[in-house]
Amino acid sequence: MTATQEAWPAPSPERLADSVARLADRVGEADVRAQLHALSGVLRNIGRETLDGGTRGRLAAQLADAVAAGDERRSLALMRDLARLDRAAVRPVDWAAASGG
Amino acid sequence: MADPGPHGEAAAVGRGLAAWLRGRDVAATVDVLGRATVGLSQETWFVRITTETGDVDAVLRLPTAASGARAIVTQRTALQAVAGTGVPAPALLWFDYGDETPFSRPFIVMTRVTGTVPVGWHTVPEPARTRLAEQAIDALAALHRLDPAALGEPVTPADDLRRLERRLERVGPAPPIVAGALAWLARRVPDPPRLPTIVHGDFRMGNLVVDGDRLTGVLDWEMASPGDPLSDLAWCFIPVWELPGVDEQKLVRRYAEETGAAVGAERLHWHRALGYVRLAYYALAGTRAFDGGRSDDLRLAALRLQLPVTLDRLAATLAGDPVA
Repeated sequence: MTATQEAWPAPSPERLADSVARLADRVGEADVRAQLHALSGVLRNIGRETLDGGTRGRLAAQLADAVAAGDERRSLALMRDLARLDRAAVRPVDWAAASGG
Repeated sequence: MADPGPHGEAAAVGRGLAAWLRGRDVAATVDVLGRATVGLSQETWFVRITTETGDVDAVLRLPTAASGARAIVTQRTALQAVAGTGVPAPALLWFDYGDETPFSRPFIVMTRVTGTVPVGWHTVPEPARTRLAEQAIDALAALHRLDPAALGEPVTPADDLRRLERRLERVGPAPPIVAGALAWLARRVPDPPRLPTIVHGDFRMGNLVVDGDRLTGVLDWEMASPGDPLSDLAWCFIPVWELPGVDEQKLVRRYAEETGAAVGAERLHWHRALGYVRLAYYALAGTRAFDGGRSDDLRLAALRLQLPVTLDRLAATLAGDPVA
């Protein structure tokens, strides 16, 4: 067995997230229900940090330079690009459920 | 609901409040009906207080380490300022600023407003959503017509920005988009408002109680202060979670008609951008509290996932693009 093999694969975060969300819907206590929905949202995003790290790092560095240089037009354009990249990597959380239970 | 049993935390809260009331010659029994699930800055308990004159459904609020005792003082002052005005708000019943209370910290008790608190505008179906949004704007306009003197010295937009910068410094290096936004804000700080008003400080759907299509109360007054009314107006449309789905331009016109004050578009835009940065700060602070082990609240763990959404909306706002 090599170091990279798993003896028994863990369930996928997506599968766990679905399961926890269904569990939440069976719970009577609103506070616990809200917490479980929040957990479901976190689980759904585990392992999704698959951004193009090189592109992200380059954009962030360019933005820092533009801000330091007071180049507002360029800053705003870079902020827009960086924000789109980051948001695209996130699976939405059901905040209506996670906030109020 | 919290554990209502005789030995649980809820029972201790009920016994504590009843003992405090007895010390003020109020013979009462206190039944704890539950604990609010929302709200991260205050501990909120729903109680029924029974005296010889009848039952009163009330809310007991206790500060957390995050809010501090000052939150109780501010709530009390604000609730007294709006009592008997056209602003729907809970009525103040009792308060104690001391640490030697049955809860070992200050507390405030207010009447419980009838209704529910929707998470956001988007969760309310039409036509109730529009009717409620109009009532909310009318309530905000009524609030902004009141004398703010009781709440202390006015807070200027420059003060707001400085305070937010200091808070952000405390949670660590600002994300590049936040740093860019702070530079944008610093170059455009509006003058102090000509007429400071009472600013609620967190006026949004998540702090409004509704009963059907009727707005019955505005909650969470612990951030109230005298300041720029447009900070409230901008904040009430900022999507904490989902887009509100209300006609903002129409509601801003309604606000201007109700208050008789012109709403400067640039000033409102500045406060909107500041509001998004503030929202980003909340996500950063919540994330840090969870990661640092100061809270086990899984909603704080999930807040990091809302940060990219907020920053995308902030960047779109600054670029003058539609917010999605």
